[in-house]
Amino acid sequence: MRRFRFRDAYICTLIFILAGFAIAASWPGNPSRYLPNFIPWPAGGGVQVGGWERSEFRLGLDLAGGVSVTLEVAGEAASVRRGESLSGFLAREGVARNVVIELNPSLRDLDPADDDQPLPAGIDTIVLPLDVDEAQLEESVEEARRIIEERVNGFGVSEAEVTVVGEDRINAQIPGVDADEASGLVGSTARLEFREIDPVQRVVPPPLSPLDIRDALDDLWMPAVRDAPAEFGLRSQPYFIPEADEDVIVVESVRWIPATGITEVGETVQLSGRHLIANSIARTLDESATPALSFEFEDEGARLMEQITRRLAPAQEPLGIFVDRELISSPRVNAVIADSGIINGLSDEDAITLRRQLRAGALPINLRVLQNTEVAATLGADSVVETVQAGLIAFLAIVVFMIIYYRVPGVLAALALIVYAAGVMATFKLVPITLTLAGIAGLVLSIGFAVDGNVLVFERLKEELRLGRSLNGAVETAWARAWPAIRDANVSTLITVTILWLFADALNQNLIKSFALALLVGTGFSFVTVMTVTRTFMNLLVSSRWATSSRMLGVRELVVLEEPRRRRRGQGTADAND
Amino acid sequence: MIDFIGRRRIYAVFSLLMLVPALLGLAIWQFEPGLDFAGGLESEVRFLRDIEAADVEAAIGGVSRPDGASLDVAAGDDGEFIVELSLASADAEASSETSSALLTAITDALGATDVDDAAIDENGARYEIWFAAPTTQDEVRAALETVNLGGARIQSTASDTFRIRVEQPEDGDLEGLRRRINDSLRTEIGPIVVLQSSSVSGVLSTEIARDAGIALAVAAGAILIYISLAFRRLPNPVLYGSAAIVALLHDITLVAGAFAIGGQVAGLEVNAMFVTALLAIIGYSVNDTIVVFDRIRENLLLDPREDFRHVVNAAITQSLGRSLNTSITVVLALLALLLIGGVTVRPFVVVLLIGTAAGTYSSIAVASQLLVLWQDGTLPRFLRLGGERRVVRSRRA
Repeated sequence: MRRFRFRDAYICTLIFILAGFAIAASWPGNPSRYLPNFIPWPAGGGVQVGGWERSEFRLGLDLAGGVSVTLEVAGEAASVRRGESLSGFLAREGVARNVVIELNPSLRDLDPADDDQPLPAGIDTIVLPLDVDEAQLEESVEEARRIIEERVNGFGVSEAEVTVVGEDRINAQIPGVDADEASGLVGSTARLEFREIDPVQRVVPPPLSPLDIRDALDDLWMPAVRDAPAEFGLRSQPYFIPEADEDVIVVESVRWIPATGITEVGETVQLSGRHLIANSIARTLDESATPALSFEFEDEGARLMEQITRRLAPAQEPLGIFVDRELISSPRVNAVIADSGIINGLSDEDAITLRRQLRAGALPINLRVLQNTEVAATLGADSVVETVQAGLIAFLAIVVFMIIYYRVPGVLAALALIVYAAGVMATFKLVPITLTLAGIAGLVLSIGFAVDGNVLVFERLKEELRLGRSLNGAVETAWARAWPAIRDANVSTLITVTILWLFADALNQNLIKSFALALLVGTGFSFVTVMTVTRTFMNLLVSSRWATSSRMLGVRELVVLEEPRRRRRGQGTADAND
Repeated sequence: MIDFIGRRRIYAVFSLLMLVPALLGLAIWQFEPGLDFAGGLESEVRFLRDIEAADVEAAIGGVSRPDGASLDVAAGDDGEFIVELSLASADAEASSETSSALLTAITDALGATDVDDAAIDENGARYEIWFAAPTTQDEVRAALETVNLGGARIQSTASDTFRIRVEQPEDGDLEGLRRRINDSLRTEIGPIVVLQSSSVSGVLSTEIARDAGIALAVAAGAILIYISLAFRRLPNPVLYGSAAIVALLHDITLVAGAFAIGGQVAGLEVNAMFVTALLAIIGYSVNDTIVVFDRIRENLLLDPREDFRHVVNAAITQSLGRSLNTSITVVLALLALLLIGGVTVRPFVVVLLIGTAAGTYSSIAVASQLLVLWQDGTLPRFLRLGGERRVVRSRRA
């Protein structure tokens, strides 16, 4: 029997206190969701110290529901002049053909020999590569991130995260919204611009079909306004089809061209959102009591607006107000206006969104969606229950296995596992580390790894006992000899997990990152619990009266547990290192 | 002691029997690329009947309830209705009677319901109720055809729930694609709730594949260096690291091959989670190998003159219990995830299960054997097969 040491008892008490705290801290508020509900489980209250409070785990979007969007900087769209050929466009913009085709999949089908032919009518803009240096790009991306963050916060979403990823990407994690709401918040550039009309006509030849008409309409740059015959199924889109006789349909539409004016320094500039005074944008009602936005122009804007309205007013021509190339309203200009304006024809919801977007400002760069993941909150809640239950059952199965196989040390391992699990859960909750489905899977897996350290020591203990060592000596030797294996096994796992994390971080793969982090925390904790908790428990066991039967230690052979005679050096190979 | 080294030809044949189909599967079918690699859009939608909170309120208006009990109906974010009953004073019997009467009334008035989450106690009850609209695959396809997406892959996951997968559009406009799908389903069929949707652009997918390859290579390199350092007191420490890496490649090939075959047979797809699982296997495989090698190191340092085969045999025998027990515990954890955990993690768990088995096996049958063959310098002969017997005989002589 080993001499009882007070140090072990102190450490043991400390472990119990810490474990008790960890269990209390991580105990769920609604335990009957995961545990069999015939037992009235107490509800956990979380932790609260002054203003610092943790009552819930922080759940990732796959569990809490929400949208994650990754955007990438896209090039600037340049308008094609009417009747312009691709080669003409390239020469005017000074870009290479292959660069442009890379960015514009719709140009891929053009015959290179055909570059001097006018571009098909469907192509009205061509995306150009970004012409900015690194510092400018960084600044623009950060500006875009800030604007998106402002919009998301304005939407009333708590705990949304908008981060810059790599050089030219932005990731937004927005809990509690659906994909439509998210794309309004994140994806839209919110570029407000003013345009005036330039009439065009397209004739659809027979035979007539809705598709022909749709094609004809698509040919127009920005087909606009009013109703189409119901039988063409185009009601949802505001097309204007004035004549429909049996042979031919004339589709008349308008082409909106930028409404420009001349600035004080003589430049021709389009009137746009940047000419608005941000703070002046306000929700209001127009004369027919429908929601509208009113705004004021700053000096240059007022100058441009005056020129434009002076041009349009005599014929009462419409002024098109576009947001992200979509026509929002087209009021007819009755008089010369300079300093203010109004956008009407909005739904209440649109008015709120647009105001928020215009106030936050237009994004300085075009962004396109690379990845968009949406999970409904209810589905996430189901996954939480399933995975947590799987984890509990895995935990129980492992504990039962360890106790059956290793007997008394197995019980110690089970206790150590409880300490381990409580510690990991409390760490996740208190730090807090975001928990995702992949993260929970990682934690469940790490229970398996956590047992490994115990198994290594116990197997070694059995071996040493079979070699005829005293229990005390066997325990000491088992720890000493199992140490290099425990160390190497853990270090190699930590290496791979760290690389996994770095890989996921670089790619912004949040699920993988979360899995790696869970495994990293789990491995770290298991390392510590084996070396402290199991070790202390073992020392206490060896110094107690219980450890007298070799069967209790899972060794079937007869083993002498009494302190043996002093061994001589060189007795056997196994002792050579003592 | 079990003679593991003497059976190396059995292991070699067994490994070949596994590796050949795996490599063939990889060569012939490659992987079935999942959304993360193919790009495109996948969404899971649930069809709901057009019912409003007022309808639910009307249905339960006539149910008698104890004095002072309040009843609340609210529409949730995902198309579900939350019906909450709270009693003025605790009464278990009245609570359970009233709440079941409520449910009956709702079912009678509004037809089939789906109660997702029910909690009843003595103070009242809380139900989450869905009004599912069973829909056929043909209806879904017809709806998608109106927006020229008739080629979508449609899979029914429940009578009212479908998974729709569409390839990456030519113009790369994933947002527009998502809107087209949802709008067509709403106008042609009825209210839907999107349970989950995910769209990935092709640009991202090639990056994931490339970076996963880099991560794999870097991890292997880092482990080689670590093992070589940990075994620096032994002759030829690099052999240990290299043997562990070969065993690792063996395991990864088996898992990847199993997935290539599984992709053909069971539609298993490769996604970012698969890559995660592969990287986790690196950890496991090396972890298991290192424990055996540690034992070899210990035995060798105790008696450097001992026959190397004997040392390795002893090390494997000594660490066998540990290897098996650790594998059993990991497998127990994985089985629980496979059987009870959600569908989303299932392919991931399958990869880990195969990888765990392969990792345990390869430490004994690949890594240790290679170590002996390299150390003895008998690898070239062994690879020619048949030459090995002579070597054994000459050693015993």
